[in-house]
Amino acid sequence: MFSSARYVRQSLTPLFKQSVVPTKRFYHPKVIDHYQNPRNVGSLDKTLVNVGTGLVGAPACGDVMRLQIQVDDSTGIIQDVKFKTFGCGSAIASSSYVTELVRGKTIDEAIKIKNAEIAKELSLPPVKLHCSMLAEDAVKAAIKDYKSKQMAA
Amino acid sequence: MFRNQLQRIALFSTRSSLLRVTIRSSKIKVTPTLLPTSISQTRQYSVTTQGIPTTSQITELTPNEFHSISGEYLETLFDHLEYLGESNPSIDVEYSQGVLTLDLPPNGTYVINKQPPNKQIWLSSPVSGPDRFDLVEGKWVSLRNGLKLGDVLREEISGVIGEQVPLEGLDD
Repeated sequence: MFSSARYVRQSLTPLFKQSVVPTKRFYHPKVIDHYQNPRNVGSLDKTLVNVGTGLVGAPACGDVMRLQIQVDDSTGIIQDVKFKTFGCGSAIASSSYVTELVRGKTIDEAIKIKNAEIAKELSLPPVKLHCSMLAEDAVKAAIKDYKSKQMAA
Repeated sequence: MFRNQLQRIALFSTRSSLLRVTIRSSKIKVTPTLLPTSISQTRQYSVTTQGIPTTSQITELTPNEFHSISGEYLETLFDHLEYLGESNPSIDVEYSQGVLTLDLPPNGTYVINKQPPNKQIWLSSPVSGPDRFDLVEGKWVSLRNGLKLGDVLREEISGVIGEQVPLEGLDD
């Protein structure tokens, strides 16, 4: 009885492997690189007038991004940028990559960043395009916050 | 040795039954209808970065209404696409558990799914990119650009097929 059970298990193993292995999906190496070595993680002093903070995403959906920019008031250039993301590998990689993109840009240039640019760089699959859109939204929200602070000041 | 194993099994089964009891009792504590109402009352997602407030139509939609309306929408879409697939063998469409996957060469793969936490339908298009749609006056509308989901799909699918695809019953 035992031997027949073992026989069944052995004969099933290749079938199991066949059905599981091809459906496995892997993150692109660039996503893994940003995930393991995220760039510009941290926070800036949100009380400063030239710091804009963007907070986007829904905890219920599993993705929350906070992105902060520090802007040079005279030139409009983004001097410093920090982010913190709670979410999947693609969400973390998207926000990490977008911090590299916006640093050194003026706010007018940064607001034009499109999710397609992020998705292309990271080779995101269809289901993960939404992560790149969240990163685009985070930049726009941070710029909006910076602008409203400037208006008030 | 055999008895030892039996004891272990007995011990395990009592442990798991204990565990089940604790889970059951903790479930009872959670059940008060706090969860669905708190979700429907507070919008936890930034729909537009311009900060356009969400309408009461969206916040008042109950999770059950959302599931029946979005489920019906996706099933209608699936039926249309399956029908299209009969005359266009390159089209491949799958629908399960609120996620519709459409392979539409040469464009690529579309994913259209229910997003219950914020009562939206999400679209990932290889042509127009990602977008999120809210139920406004019975139509699924993107609050980012004002486009209707049905119109976006009609345009992109018609472009591939080479003739106007009506997709009846979808935001028309």
